[in-house]
Amino acid sequence: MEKEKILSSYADYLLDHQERPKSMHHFSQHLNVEEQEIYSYFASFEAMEGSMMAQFIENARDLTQEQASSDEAFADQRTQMVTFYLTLVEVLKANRSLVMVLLPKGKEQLQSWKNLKLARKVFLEYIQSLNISIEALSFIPSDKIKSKTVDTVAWGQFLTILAFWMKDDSPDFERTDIFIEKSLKLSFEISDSTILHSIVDLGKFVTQNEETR
Amino acid sequence: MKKLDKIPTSKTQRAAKMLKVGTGIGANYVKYWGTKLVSDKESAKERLDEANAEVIYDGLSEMKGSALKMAQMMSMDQSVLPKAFVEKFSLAQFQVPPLSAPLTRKVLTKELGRAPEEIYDKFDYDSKFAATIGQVHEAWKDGQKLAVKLQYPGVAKSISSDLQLVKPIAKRMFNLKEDEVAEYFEEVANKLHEETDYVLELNQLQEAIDACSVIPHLTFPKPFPELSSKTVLTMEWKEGKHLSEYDDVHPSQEQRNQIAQTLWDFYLYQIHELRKVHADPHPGNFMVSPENELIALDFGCVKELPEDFYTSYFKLTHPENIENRETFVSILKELDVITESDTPAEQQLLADTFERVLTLVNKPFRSETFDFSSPEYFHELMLLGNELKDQKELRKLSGKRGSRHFLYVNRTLFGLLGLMNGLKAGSIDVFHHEKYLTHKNASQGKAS
Repeated sequence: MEKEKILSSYADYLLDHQERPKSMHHFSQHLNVEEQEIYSYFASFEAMEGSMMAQFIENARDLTQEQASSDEAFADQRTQMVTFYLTLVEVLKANRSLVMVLLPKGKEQLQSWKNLKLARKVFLEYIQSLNISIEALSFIPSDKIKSKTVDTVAWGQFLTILAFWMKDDSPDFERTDIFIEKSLKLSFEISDSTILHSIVDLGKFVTQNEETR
Repeated sequence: MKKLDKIPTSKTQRAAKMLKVGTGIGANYVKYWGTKLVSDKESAKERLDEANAEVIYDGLSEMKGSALKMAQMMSMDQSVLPKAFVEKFSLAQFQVPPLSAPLTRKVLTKELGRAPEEIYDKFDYDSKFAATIGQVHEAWKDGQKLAVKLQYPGVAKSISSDLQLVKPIAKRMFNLKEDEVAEYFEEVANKLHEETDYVLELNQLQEAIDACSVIPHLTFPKPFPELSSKTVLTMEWKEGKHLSEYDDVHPSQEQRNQIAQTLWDFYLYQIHELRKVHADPHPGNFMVSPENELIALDFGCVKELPEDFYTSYFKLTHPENIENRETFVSILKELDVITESDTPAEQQLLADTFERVLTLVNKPFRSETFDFSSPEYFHELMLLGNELKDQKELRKLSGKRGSRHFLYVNRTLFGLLGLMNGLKAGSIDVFHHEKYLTHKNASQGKAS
């Protein structure tokens, strides 16, 4: 059985039962294949779920890149970011029931979305490939710390938008679109400013001041 | 980054914006008192107005929604607000940062069912104009250039919460009580909601095109219903200069007069023939074509004049109705300007005041022609407006004066006078429109 087939069967199972199969054994019987065959692609249900979320991101990424290369109005990195998110919520909308099963609702559970590990990797690789320059972090001397900071912030924004979308009850999830536009504008404005620099600078001064007392 | 924009929609975010406006004004007043101590009152006041206008404008221009619309509406009443306010608010019509290309594309695709590149031969994602609750893009289809007006998502919903925020400010400004405000706010809320419906706007535009064909030198952008929806309006692209930039092309006096006469005829024809009038006369809503024809844009705000209001209101243009105090007071009562609960002294004050205002406002109709380029007339209007604003006895009277229909009819008339003055039009034939009327019975009180 093919990898894709297993994934889509698993998706169907989740939609039908609204929960994971009791064990991999149950699931393999459901599919009428050997358990071994599933293990050759996925070690666990979590891995399958992670793979689905990652595919949503790849889908949105590919569409965004296609759009960017076919129309120069969508080519610059920041416009691509907006396109990516707007497309992603469209992809997710087409799979909303599934996503609702995959990701337990509620903000407090953001941390428990463990099956997003692969999704995070795919997302961050895409972000890095965009090579967005961030003025606000220019005061950080280490490139490694800089890129780690970008990763953390970008992923945090991703989760926030995802959580917003899951709770959105406006028609066509219109409010999520506005939220994306707003929150990206804000983060770009912060990235362009030296406000972080000033905050760190003040922080350093206050800390030193305390220490010298 | 300029290309993205936020549209504050929730009440708390807008409240924060309003708060910013409020504190800014407070600070300006402190500065005013400081300046006042060292310089003469007039110039300090002027500086205060300018500083306040700046703060209010900055606050409002980021709100993009209906609060901006309110600001524009206030800016129409040139005689009520000091000049600095008006100048800043007029800017509000053009300078709002646009939506990002991806969101523009998404909204259009959702509204029209297909992506812009499938619908149009070419679509420019850099918007050309901001339309207060939307933005205008250039597009091409079948060799024709089009204007695509796109409404900001979420605007329609935010109107009610915006109005709730503006309410207390308006109450203080115009000395209104809660139950008195309700009627006016309903009128404004209805109009603002109508303006978010582009299907209605398209129909109103088409109606105007059909009804006004008798007026020469007047054109409209032709709408395309099949490329429009509730929040998208596709029209023919009209080349030309906005009225505010008309001076740039150095028109001759003759050309100015042609535009001004057309504008005048257009308005009076709508009022007296159609009883339905384009109620948003600001320089951004009119253009002049290279052939020196007037182009009327934006039919989102159209005010219908109910028969009884129309009849009472235009009785006031006959001088004999104003000069006879008994008739005058009874007309003012019909229009709710004077109520039964007013004391005789209050009635006297109101009648005196309105007699002065109306005598001045009706001045253009007292002769066959009127010179709108004369600064004296407009100066007089503004002085009177300022004087009335500062008059303590008047301010003490409850603020709700006049039927709800006054709101948009006055805005239209003062707006029209402002545009006529801005055009520096010389001698205009005041009753020229009458030859287009099919029923002349209730027309203007011609000087006899």
